[in-house]
Amino acid sequence: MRLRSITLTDVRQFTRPVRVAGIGDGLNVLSAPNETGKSTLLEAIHAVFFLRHSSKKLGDLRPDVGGNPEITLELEQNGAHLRLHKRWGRGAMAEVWRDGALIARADEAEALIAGLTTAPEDGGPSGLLWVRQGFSALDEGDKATLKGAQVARRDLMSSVTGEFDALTGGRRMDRALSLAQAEMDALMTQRGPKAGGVLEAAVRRVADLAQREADLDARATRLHTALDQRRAKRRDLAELADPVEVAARQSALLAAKTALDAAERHAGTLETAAEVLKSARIERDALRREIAARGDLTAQVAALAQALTRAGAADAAAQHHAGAARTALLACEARQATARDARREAEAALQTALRLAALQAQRARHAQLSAALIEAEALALGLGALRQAAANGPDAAALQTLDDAAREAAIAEGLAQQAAPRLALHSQPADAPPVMLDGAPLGPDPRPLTQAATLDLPGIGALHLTPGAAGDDLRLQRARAALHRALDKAGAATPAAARAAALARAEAQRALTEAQAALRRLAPEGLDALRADVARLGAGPDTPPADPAEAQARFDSRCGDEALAEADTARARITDASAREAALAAHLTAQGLTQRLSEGQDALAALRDPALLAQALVDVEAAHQAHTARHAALLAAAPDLPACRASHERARSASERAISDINELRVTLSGLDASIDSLSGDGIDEDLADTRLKLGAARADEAALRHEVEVLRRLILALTQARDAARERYFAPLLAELRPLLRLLWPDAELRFDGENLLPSELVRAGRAEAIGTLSGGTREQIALLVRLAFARLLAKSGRHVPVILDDALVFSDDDRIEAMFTALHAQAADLQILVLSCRNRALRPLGGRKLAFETLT
Amino acid sequence: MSDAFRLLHSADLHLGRQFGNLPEAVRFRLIEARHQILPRLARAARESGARDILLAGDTFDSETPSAAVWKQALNAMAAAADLRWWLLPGNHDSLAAEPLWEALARHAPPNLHLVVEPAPVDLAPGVVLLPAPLPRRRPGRDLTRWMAEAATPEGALRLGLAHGPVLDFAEEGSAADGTIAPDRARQAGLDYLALGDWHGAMQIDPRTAYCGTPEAEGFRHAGRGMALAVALRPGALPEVARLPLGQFHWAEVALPLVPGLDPLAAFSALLPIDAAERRDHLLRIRASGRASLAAHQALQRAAEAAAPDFAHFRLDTTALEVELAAGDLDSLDHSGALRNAAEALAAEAADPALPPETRRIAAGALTRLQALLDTGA
Repeated sequence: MRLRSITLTDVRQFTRPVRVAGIGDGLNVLSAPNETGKSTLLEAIHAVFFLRHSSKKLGDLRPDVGGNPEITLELEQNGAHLRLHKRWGRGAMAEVWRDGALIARADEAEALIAGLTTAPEDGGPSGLLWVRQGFSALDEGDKATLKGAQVARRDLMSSVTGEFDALTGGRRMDRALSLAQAEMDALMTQRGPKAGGVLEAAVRRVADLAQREADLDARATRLHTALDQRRAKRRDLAELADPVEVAARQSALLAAKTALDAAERHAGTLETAAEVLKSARIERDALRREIAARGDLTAQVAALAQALTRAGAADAAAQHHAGAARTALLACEARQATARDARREAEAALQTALRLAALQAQRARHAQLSAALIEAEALALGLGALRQAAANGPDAAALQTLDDAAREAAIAEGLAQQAAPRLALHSQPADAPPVMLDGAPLGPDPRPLTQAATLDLPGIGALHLTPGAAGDDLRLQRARAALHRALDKAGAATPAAARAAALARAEAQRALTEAQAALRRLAPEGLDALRADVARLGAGPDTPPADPAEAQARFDSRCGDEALAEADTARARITDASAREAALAAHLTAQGLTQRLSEGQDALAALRDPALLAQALVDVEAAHQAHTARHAALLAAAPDLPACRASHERARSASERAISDINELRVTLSGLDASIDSLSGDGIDEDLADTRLKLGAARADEAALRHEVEVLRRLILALTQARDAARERYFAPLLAELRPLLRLLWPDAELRFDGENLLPSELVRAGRAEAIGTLSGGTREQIALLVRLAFARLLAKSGRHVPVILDDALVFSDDDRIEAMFTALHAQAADLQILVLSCRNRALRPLGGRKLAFETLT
Repeated sequence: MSDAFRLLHSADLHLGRQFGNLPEAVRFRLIEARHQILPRLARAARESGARDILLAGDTFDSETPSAAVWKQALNAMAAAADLRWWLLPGNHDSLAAEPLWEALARHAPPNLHLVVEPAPVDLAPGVVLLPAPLPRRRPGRDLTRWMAEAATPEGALRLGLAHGPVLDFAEEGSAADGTIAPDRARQAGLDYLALGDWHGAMQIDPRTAYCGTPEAEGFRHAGRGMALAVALRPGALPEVARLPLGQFHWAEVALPLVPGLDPLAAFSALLPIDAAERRDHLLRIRASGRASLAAHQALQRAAEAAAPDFAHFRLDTTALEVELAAGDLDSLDHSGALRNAAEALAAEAADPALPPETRRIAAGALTRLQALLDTGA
């Protein structure tokens, strides 16, 4: 269906007929200020299709100033031109004209009109595509409108891709998913088994039972261990407490004791015999020692007497030696004094000789300085003249300036001469007098005329020649002037004189320098200082000659003699001290020996008679032999006492150990009995076996529940995936239309749709999903418009062309977005008819499209 | 002796067993049933004319039964004062359980005889009991060997009483632990060798028998428990009669299914016909093979319907694979997402390249989907 024109009469503010004509395919724009009647236009179109002519509910059609609304709508449908004409109120009528011919009236016309498109509340496409002012959002409007729009969307989508429920499984799918999820939720949460759920209880039960099993197993192990221990302990006790064993231990102990006692008694007897033998030996040894001591003492006394004799002689010799050493010492000291005196005398002579030599040196120095002074004074006198000469004449700089000026003058001369006229005389008869130019004969060689000259022509007269300016005469003049100045400064008439003067100056300068150097050499401190030195030294007295070297030699010799005397004295002193010490030691030794000899003699007198001692020794020897024999016999018969002790100890220890073990076993068994009674009374093994069975069953239950979870998870996944795939297929055509439109606004945007109401639910931009409700008003407005355009395209593709009418549908969009929306409208307008009604003339200017206007009819 | 000497041969009472792997509701019934074994044995002995009841080991389930268990057992034995109980230590209640045997010795009623020595015991005039008590859980040797050398009065009946494996039962421990010579009765000239350890009644030879447990306690030995009434005459083979005594009937049965087989019929055929009887039945059905989705659902529903009849019932479909029938997926949905999801799960369940667990999960998801959709139907 394509609208072509609409004419309104007595519709709201249109009291006079107005027409909007020239509505073409593609984009049509009616831009007019508010209150012009744009929305009335949409209502009028709506009324033509959906308000019966007999209806009294005129609503927005009712004329402001009374009258009967009348609307004529021209359109094209399936190649035919239709004119729909209706009037409401008085004279209500309805007519349908096709290609200029009336084909239906009244109810028939209404039926025909109704067949053109379905009412929006019945799901007609106009509910989707005709947007009233202020109802641009997809979910705005009254209940009937919204429901109708939903039906329209669903019908459209169903016609394109099929029934939504059929594709996605509808309520059965929802129910299956819901039930499966509910069963899953009863078992699991995101983090694991649901607290309080069956699976969690199963897991907990397994854990509890496992713990209980471990505890019971440990207790059962302790019980059986205790039983095993008690069995072993009882066996040990039975062995230890066996009467036969006990009797055997006691008998062994008694036998060991008896043997030990006998061995100890024998050991006592043997010890006594050993003591007796020891006493005899001691007595014998004492006698022997006494006899030996007497002999030693006698020999000792004799030795002491001999030693005393020798010591006396040594003492006398030492005393003599000490006296001699003292005498030698005294002699050395005398010689030393003599040497010292000689040395002092030589020293004095040396001092005198040195003094005389110094005086002589002084006189010589004075003479030297006096001669130097005379020479220096002469040089000082000559310096003045030399200075004068060194200042005369040009210095090097002046000379250089002069040379430069001369050179420049020469050059200028040369140039002037080159430029100057030249005069030469050729073919002069041989006898003719010479022609003179400025007094010089003129020959065939050309001579330049750089200045006025006089040419004497014998026989003729003088020719005054004035060459005038030749070449660079100015340069020559300047050069000459400079040369004159340089000569003046140099104080010479000519450059050669100036050079000679400069040379003389240099010579004088050199002489002056040499004189000054000689003066400095003679008087380094200056003439005044030299004069002072001469005056200070003076000539000095006339002294006899002295020989310090000889005096020095004599003094050195005396010093050597004195040193030798000192050394002799030192050695003599040492010898004297040693001799006195030796004498003292010898005397003391002699005294000691005397004392000892006296003591030895006294001791010897106190010992017994030797004959008595010999007899006593014989008796003691005999007794000793007898005791030795007895002791040997006892020793041979002695039992092994350590072995007897060890046997007894072993037997005693075994007996005591057995008693101790028996007591310990009884105590241990008592404890084991108590422990076993305690553990075994609870039916541990029964409990353990039962717990293991329960644990097995609990694990099987848990495994079954986990399997159940996996089954549910797999089922939910399969259902969700199938449903999502179906939804994708369902919305694919719509999204295919929508995608390029969305990309005009956002490069990578996607829309997701709610499967229930087929409205956009989320906008995905840059991978981020945003709920439609959270978007700005402008964005929602734009999305709504694009969705409507996409639906319009789908309708058109299914063969149902319905115009898109937008009454101020972009009120919240900013300028940039409006441009993008314009682009979208243009893109869609190629296949559709779009009618844009707006009061924003300036904003829509860039929209382009066909401009419509209200045309007032007469 | 012209009259036969009659005795009741029982063993493996396992008093004190708790059945922890079963639900609480049936556990207590099973525990109580075990305690009622003693009065039932006494009744059976009297009915069969026996005065002596031989308990060939494992009277108690553990070496440390609770005081309630052994005391109540003694009381029950004492209550049958006209009978004599002969108690042999088994591997579960060997002589290593000293506290137990000491307690039994201290508190045993006069009619209870603890045969704890491998030595002949005069059971009755002309009847000698040759017991082989277990000194510990795994003796590691044939304890009946001594019986061949045991001297008994001329013409006396020789009764052997032992506990342990004759064959490689693998009931407890290894085959090498104290295996009894299968021809011990012949070797030792026994008129009858009463054995315990195997929980099912089994005749080894005409003179050697396992009596089984008088109250079954596991699925391994299906059926009810029993005891053996034995009548002995010198020179004659013993007359052995099986006396069903157990309250509960245990059974584990297989339910092999193939597509096309009526699963419900096959299932129902495995159930006891008498519904009232089922109360004392413990039944475990292991389904295997392949079945359609509908068959899976039907089986589950049938199991859920049947379970309350039983003391304990379980249908195990772990080994039952899903085979999709022609209309199985259609029953879920003809097209759309549900159908696609079901097809994905079915493909995954049938993909041999995937691990078995993955396939099992996919099959489970598919059957669950069927169940959820049926719930909403």
